[in-house]
Amino acid sequence: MIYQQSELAVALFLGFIMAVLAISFFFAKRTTSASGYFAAGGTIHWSVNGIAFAGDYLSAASFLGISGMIATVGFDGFLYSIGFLAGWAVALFLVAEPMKRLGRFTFTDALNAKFQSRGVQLVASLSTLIISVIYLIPQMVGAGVLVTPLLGIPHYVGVMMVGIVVTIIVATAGMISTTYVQFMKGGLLLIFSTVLVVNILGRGIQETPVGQEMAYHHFQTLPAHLDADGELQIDAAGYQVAGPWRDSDFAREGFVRLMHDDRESVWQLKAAAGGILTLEEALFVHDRSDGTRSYNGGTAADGRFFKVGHVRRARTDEYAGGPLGVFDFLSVFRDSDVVLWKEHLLVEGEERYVIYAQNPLPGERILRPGLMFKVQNSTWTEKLNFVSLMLALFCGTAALPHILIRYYTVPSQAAARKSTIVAIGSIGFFYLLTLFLGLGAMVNGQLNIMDSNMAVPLLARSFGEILFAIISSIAFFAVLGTVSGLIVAAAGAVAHDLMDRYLELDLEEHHKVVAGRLAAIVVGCVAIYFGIVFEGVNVSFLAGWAFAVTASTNLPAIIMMLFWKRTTSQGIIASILIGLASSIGLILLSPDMYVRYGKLASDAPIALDNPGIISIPVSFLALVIVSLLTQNKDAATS
Amino acid sequence: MGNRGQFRTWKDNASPYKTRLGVYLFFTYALAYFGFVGVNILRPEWMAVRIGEVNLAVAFGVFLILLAFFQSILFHVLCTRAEKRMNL
Repeated sequence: MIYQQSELAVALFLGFIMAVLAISFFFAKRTTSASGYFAAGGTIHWSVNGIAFAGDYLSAASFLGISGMIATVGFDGFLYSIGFLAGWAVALFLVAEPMKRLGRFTFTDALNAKFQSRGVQLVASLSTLIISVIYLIPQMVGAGVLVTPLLGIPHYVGVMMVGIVVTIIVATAGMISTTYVQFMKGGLLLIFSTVLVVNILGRGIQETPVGQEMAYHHFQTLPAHLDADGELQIDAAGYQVAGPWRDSDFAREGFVRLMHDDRESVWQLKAAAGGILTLEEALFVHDRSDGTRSYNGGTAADGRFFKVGHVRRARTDEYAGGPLGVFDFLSVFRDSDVVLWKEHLLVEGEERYVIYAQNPLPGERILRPGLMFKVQNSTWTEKLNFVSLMLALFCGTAALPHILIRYYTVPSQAAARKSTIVAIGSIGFFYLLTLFLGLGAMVNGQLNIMDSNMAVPLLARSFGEILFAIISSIAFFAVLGTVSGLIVAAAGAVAHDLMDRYLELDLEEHHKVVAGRLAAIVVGCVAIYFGIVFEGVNVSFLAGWAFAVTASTNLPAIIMMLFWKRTTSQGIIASILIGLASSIGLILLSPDMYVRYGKLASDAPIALDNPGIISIPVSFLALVIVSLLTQNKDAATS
Repeated sequence: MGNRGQFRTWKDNASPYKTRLGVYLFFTYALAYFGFVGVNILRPEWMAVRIGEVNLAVAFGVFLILLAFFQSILFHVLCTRAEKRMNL
């Protein structure tokens, strides 16, 4: 799909970049100490820190990924909102104050405060570094997703552009500039997401999407029948079946290729009452044997790969269109039939078709789980997959490195607690909005079915150029804020935990700052590389993996250190290493990764897509066993 | 080595109380959260049950988000009260 570029969006993009660079250079002069660079000197007000938490946490995965997922699979996308927010309960009730009390700049500091162990320092800093990089991947993919269509530049250029800007933000003033960038981003995100939802409710739900820059494409239905020879005959003028059909893979999968005005189209065959057949128009991408690609029978520039998202039958009693309240919106949606799109892959020789067929479902079905995570009539493996994801989301937040370091930017434990409450309020409010953003995108005819990540910016476009430009720029800002937080966390792991503490280089204050800046540049380059490699994967899905790794490595160490007196340094080391190895190993052997390797998902040795349900208990178990085995050794050491 | 391993420490008499309170609220929340997960895998058809204008899935999901917020306010109020009372 070719997106129409917006000059206003480009201008706002550049405006935001100039603003954040100005903030960074302004604070750079003041950042001369390690405390200033890694923890903003512990001087940030709790209310600013709370919104900065939101700015840090509400990443591209939240803003683009969750809403896009809700727009394509309904309630299953909202499960991410529920799980991401639930993790904050763990953060506030168990982790916030003790981490603030024990630490100085990083998560490793807190562990080291109790154990004074070089081994703990090493593995904790390495796990922080690895988790930061894994979580950077979806953020950088999100950056490319946004910048590419809006500026008309290739994905890799978009990723590089964002990577360079963020690296400058972090390399100049570290946590101070990062905090204010995240504060601005968090505030803007909340305000304009609310504005967008108010617009969605104001428009209501209609069978024909309105507010398009070009008329919504009405997907056609054609009558057809089988003749005496079993061949398909189209009962509409000008349409002819393309090539032999009866014994083709298309026929077996319930599709047919037609020619009309020398243009190829793909239709889904449906049996109607009385032996009559109907054909429903589908969308398709055709990769030809000569290496060329067509989008719905045309080039990408032809604009024939239509945007989708419509209601087939809106509830008509008591509602004839127009503004809806929050609950009325949900009830009208529930009682309507909404058209979702199902992807099918067809390969005929060297010709490859990806077909998106209409899949009308009652709104009631879309508003409960099961379209992405199979929970009804499902196998135990499918149930475990669901539990595993929800467990990882619940346990992951509290141990994310870029969240943990934000406890050190405020002056006291009470301030850490209060800023976490502000974060829960603002993040929870945003996640409630995602339900309406996603459902709004589902019925407003603006979805690019090939890229769910663009659902919200495209939805905003239907409300006018200004809102589109603002929402796109905020989404871009969302990437900048989260990536900068992650790079600060990773730089802290390298410069403070590894170089200064573990290797005992005994750096001067300004050398620590220089080391942090150099580390930020290296991590920024790594982030750019992964952002390019993982192009095209849903960013929320990737974030789910990052949460699983975090929940399997850092969280068991934090929880057991705080609540089990017999925890030993060896237990912590074993837990982090085993959690890291098991979670990453299970991800690499998962069905989703097998698809990325070009193999069949069914060939994967592990049936789970999310490793949390195995790796989290294994990590806890490793900590308990090794701690019990090393009680005497630790006592002797201490 | 300077101040390696030395961290700011101060006596907070309310700390044990806050820890207990946090654990209590955590388990309350975890019960609600994994109750939601459990219903989804064991009785998924319940998620279609209508509660007012929405179904149980939406109502339960929104409840979990609101519960986290209201519990956090309660936690803060009780912690602040304990800090004032115990750290005179």
